[in-house]
Amino acid sequence: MRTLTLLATLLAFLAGLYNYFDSRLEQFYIFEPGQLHDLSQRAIAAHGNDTRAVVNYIVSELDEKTPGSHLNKEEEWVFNNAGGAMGAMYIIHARTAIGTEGHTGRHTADDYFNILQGTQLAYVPGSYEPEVYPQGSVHHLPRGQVKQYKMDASCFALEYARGWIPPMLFFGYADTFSSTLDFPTLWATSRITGREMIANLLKGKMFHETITTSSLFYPGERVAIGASGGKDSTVLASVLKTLNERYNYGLQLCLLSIDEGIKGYRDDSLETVKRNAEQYDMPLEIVGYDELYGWTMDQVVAQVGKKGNCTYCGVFRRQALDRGAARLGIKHVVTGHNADDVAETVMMNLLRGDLPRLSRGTSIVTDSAASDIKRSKPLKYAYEKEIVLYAHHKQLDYFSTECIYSPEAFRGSARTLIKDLEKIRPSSILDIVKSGEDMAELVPAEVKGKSCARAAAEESAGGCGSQNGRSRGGEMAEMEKKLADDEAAESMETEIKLPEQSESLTRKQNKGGKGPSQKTIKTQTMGKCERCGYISSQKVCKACALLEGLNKNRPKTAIEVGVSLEDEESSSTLMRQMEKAQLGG
Amino acid sequence: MPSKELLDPCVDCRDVEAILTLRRRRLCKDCYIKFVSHKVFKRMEKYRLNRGLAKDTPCKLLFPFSYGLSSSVLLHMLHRQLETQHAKTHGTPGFDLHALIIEPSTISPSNPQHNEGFELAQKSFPLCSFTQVPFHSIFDLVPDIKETMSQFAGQGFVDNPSLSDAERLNAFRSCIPTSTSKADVDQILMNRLVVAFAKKIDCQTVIWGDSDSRLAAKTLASVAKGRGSSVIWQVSDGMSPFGLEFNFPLRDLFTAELRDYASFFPELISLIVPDEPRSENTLTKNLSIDELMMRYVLTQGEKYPGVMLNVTRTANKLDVSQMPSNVSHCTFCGAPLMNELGSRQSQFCYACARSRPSTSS
Repeated sequence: MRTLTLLATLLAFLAGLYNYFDSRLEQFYIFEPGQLHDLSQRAIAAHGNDTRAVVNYIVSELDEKTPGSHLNKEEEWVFNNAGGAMGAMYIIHARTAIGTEGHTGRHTADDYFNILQGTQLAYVPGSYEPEVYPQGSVHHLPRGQVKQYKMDASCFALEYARGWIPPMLFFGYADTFSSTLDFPTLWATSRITGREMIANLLKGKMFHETITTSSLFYPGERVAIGASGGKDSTVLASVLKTLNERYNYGLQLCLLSIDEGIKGYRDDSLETVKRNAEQYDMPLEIVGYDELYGWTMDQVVAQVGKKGNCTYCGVFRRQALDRGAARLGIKHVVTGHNADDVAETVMMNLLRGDLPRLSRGTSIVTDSAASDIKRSKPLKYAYEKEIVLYAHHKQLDYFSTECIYSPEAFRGSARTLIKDLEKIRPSSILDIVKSGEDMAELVPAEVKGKSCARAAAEESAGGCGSQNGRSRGGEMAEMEKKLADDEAAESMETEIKLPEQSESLTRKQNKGGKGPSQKTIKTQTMGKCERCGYISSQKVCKACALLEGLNKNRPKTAIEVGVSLEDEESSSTLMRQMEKAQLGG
Repeated sequence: MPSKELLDPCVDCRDVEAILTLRRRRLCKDCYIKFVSHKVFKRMEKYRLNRGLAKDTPCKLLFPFSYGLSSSVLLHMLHRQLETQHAKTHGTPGFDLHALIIEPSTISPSNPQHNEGFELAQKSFPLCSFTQVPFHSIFDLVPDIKETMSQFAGQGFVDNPSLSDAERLNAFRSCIPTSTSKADVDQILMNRLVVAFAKKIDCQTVIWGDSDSRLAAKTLASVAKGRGSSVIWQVSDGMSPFGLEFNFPLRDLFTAELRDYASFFPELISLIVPDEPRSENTLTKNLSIDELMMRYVLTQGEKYPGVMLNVTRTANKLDVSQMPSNVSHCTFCGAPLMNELGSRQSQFCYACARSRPSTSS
């Protein structure tokens, strides 16, 4: 993460310098490509296949011949994972590859590979014959050109990139350029290589594609952006504004924020949203839990404790977003869920065994007859890392603190798992999204129909809480206990029924049923909550049910404090709290 | 009532001292075996009673056997069912079990040849028939696989017909780039080998010996590799896209229970080739996705075995009939092509394309 921040800061810094240096580029070059080629040939001649000696030879000669200290002579091997290639970078810029291949990326610099050992192959789109670069040769990749390249095991190359890179940073940071965004595990498929790529990627290609292919918006539509002040929603607002202007979507955009009432978190991030509203020239609407429900999240946590408060927050937020949109007279809310969030949700629902959510968690638009407000996630195919890079590149003003209350255990567990997967195969985040989409289609029709009606009312709140999974695992432990109880009950049940089981089984089958395991699933009819009028399948909507529980406890707490004679009552409450604490531990 | 007071009687038979705890119940050895076997017994009902199958001939089942803990235990349980079945003079014809072994040393050179295991298995389970084939027999069993392999591997791989089958297969396998892709491709090839063999000897069903943790890991790994839709036949009972039924009778049992079961039978102990101990200090990024998921399921399974079991159950609830019909199938893994992105129609599915040498990362 530190490397990432470093790199991102560097990118932002360089972006600023770009205009200044671009016109004065030539005078900054220290090395001539010809000189480096000559040097590497001499080094190979002197030391043959002894790579270490070749590298040492080059480093010492470059150090001698160039005034000032441009070279980092301490060997720092940095793993590089950009453009689909895995290899290690020697920070002075000898590139080694342990059987690496990938996409060169589209660079803003000319790139020279001096092959020190082994052979490099490159493929140009449209041609079937590879270009072969043997030991001692130079592979020149001109500015803006893209190739597929492959270096076999033990192939080493001295890579020299020159372009608009400010030379004083060259040797310290050259590895962050060309195909070499050097932080580990950067998404490694072909698109994300140069600085320009990152910016174009989100804006131009993919994002625009997502919007047009799924026809997300119609011209003149009024759209509310669910803005939290975090990186995702800030990037979403910035990108939507840019695209709206560039491609004339004709959208009327505004920001919609929810104030959960969490001190030290939401109050600060709302300040960011207020600044964003000014920067992007968009109207802002803030809906507070306290005005809607009479409770802030801080008060809820004081009441129910840290465990399980995410449920309250999630249920309240869904309604609050809808109510905020309704207040603005808007029928479409976009949220900043990215590919990582969606992948996490898929994994989480799988762990939780939540089929209804599995069937709708991945769809880009959650739309249903039951609600007149449509939700969509235009950033669904964007990696979190792309969003971070974009935000840094555009120097967006966002708030990066996480919610102070811990996330759900299932989400924490899923998140850790996805971070590990990303290390192995960076594309697996999108692969999970793809799996999620396929599996959603395979969810049984009756569950699907049911979930469709509830889609708008119950979308899972993505990406709350911490990155490091510091939660205590209470939910998982609870589910484990429940599953074990079910199991125990089932096994006892079987024992009692065993003698007559086969008979009843055949009888049931004769009736034409599909067998005893087939449960009939109740169909839901959507109505309105009789208290608040919100769409609900029950008489009272989920938020009102939760509120009832909260409000019931409110006066009781007061009595306990005031009238201490009610010993029995208070001790039972205490016991309940103790039980909860134990389950959570 | 037994004459002597038992300190800790088995909760099922109440006659003997309990020795083990099974799902929070204290049981004796016999009741333990009974309980565990019954889980599999129920799963085999369809084949034992020939439900919906021909009533006059036994149902032919293929059982891929790996010498691992779970497939050995399952073989032992199924063989006991066969013994009961053969002891009956009348009744339904039941099932025939044919075990297929892919010779371990042809899968990985680090695996020892296990000929004594083959003999021991044949001796211990005389009611089953056994066949051992090398991995590269896939070329004989799936004639068009050579062409598929060449197309799959792309430019980086040139098939050399002058080499032996074993060398050709190894050449293909070694051109697959990452450990994740290698594991993925091996899995597909073995799967196709098993399916082709089952068809050759006229089996309608394949009985897989995957343990609960393997099924959970397989579910999670499939999802992570973009093979979400294939869980409906890779971990669920029912029809596979290959026209054979797949069945996983061990799905209700925990690995720890299999281990306890195996410990009661000395012949099993000598047959089982133990898994290589998982090294704890391998860097995450050097693992394959399958290994990572196995590690995840095992570590999480210590605390939350039920949650891990539930992953498989959830996958099992997915409905094959929702699969769009009339779609073409991936020529490599055989999965139906669903939601394939982009206009260019490929013969390979999204997930297989990820494991191909030219396009994988």
